[in-house]
Amino acid sequence: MSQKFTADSVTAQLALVGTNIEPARAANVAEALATQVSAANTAYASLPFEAEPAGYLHACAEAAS
Amino acid sequence: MTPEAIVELSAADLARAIRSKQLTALTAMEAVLARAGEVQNTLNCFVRIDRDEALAAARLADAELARGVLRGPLHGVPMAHKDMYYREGAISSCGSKIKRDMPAPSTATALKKLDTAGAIQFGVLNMAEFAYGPTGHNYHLGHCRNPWNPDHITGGSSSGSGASVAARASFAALGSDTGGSIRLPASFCGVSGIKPTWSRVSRHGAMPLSFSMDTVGPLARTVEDCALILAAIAGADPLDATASQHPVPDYMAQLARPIRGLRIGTPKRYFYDNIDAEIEGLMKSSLEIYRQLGAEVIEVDLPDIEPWNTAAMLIIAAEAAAAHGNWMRARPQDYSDQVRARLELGLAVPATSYLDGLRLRGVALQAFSRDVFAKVDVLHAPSVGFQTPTIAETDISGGATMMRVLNNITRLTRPGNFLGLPCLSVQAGFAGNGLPTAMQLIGRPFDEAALFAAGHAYQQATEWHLQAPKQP
Repeated sequence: MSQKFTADSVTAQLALVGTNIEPARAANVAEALATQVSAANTAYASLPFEAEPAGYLHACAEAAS
Repeated sequence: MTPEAIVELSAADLARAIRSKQLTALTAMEAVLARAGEVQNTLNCFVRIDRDEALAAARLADAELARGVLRGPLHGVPMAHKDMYYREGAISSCGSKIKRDMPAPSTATALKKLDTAGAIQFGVLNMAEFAYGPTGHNYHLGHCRNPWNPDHITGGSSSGSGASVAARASFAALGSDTGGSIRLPASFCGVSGIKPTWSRVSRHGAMPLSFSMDTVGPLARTVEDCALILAAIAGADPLDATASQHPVPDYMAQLARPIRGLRIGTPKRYFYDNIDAEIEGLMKSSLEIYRQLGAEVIEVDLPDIEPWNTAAMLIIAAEAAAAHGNWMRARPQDYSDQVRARLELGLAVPATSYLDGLRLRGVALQAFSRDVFAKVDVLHAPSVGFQTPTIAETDISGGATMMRVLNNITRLTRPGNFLGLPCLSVQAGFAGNGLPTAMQLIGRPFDEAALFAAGHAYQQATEWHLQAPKQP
């Protein structure tokens, strides 16, 4: 099941972190997030279980240099 | 030498002239202050000019030199910087309303290192609000304008850095690059700019936007200037645990390293998807120059970059939103509509989407290194794929089309940030609208020296970097 973003879900999410958002702005956020998260998920689908962000790039950069 | 001739000098040439006492630091400072005053009304590239302090510092530099004291390789060179590098006790607006009354608690390591190298800061430069915008619009300070045509954007977020250096109103300037903020204004304004490897330069005292993407680097007239300035600011810093311990090579000594046999990759896809035909032609011309210089140009297949780009946007959005969380709760009305909209988006990014983005970075770098750097030494690509738009065309505020437009502007620069790779933007000619454009050279982690050598060789064979906009 894919992630769904709606104006209501965005409003609720922002309320959880103490920020108000007007309905029209929440709708814009929901639309943009739906597009971005869906696109990123195509890459996330092939992430190895063991991949972790700790030292993620620094160590890789040192190793690849 | 006339003031007009002085301001045409590169930072490296000016430093040499001051060292050899052909010019005084005071004369150089007076010339650049005069030029800054001439262009400011039209370009709005400066936030503040510290004239009296700068002149006093220039006199001191001359007195030191007369006593045989040379501070460093930038002795007496006037520079202004993006208004997000803190100097203790001074205001860094960060292009915002929120920080315009807050004195900085400490001095940025990059500024300290430039002070040590002898550079003299004479002002601070316009920028996108909190460095969160790729066009150069600023609704608090006024939009910065392109010196080649003031109706057009400068690019951002280091808008004043690109505009002032191109207009010969600063010899060089610090910018910062989280998604393209050095390379975009470098390309749109016709100057050179280096986004170093992530962690190559300390971020201590630099305004944070996205801690895992932010990089500090210079915009300058030439690649040689970029090498000179990066050499001064790169390296480990006890005040920034993320600053790499990796040794800093002698970039200046390696500028002249041979290009013959260098393997330059040209990507088969992504960077040329839907690109402007004139820019594509300029890219082909620049590759032909490299062939004539003896480099080997090789087509390379890239991994699928598009989803990486989206992951980068999610990471930046989430990290920026976290940094701004307190102000978003207390002072949301003090952000411009566009920045507020982007921060709202960041607040709604699912934690797993953010963390998966971070998990992807190392995997992606390994794939990119395997597919690209196993075959070539440097990847060549356009910095932007379209001709410089007008300020009006990109005045999109925070509406529904915002993210699509912004993402299109940063589409070719953002992968370098996601991968943490060094990227050098180099002037590559002019499009039909009369405005400059650029190529970017992308290198292995910490191999800025290869980029400088390749960029410098190109500038020795071309004259794009010598072109200056007409005085406004």
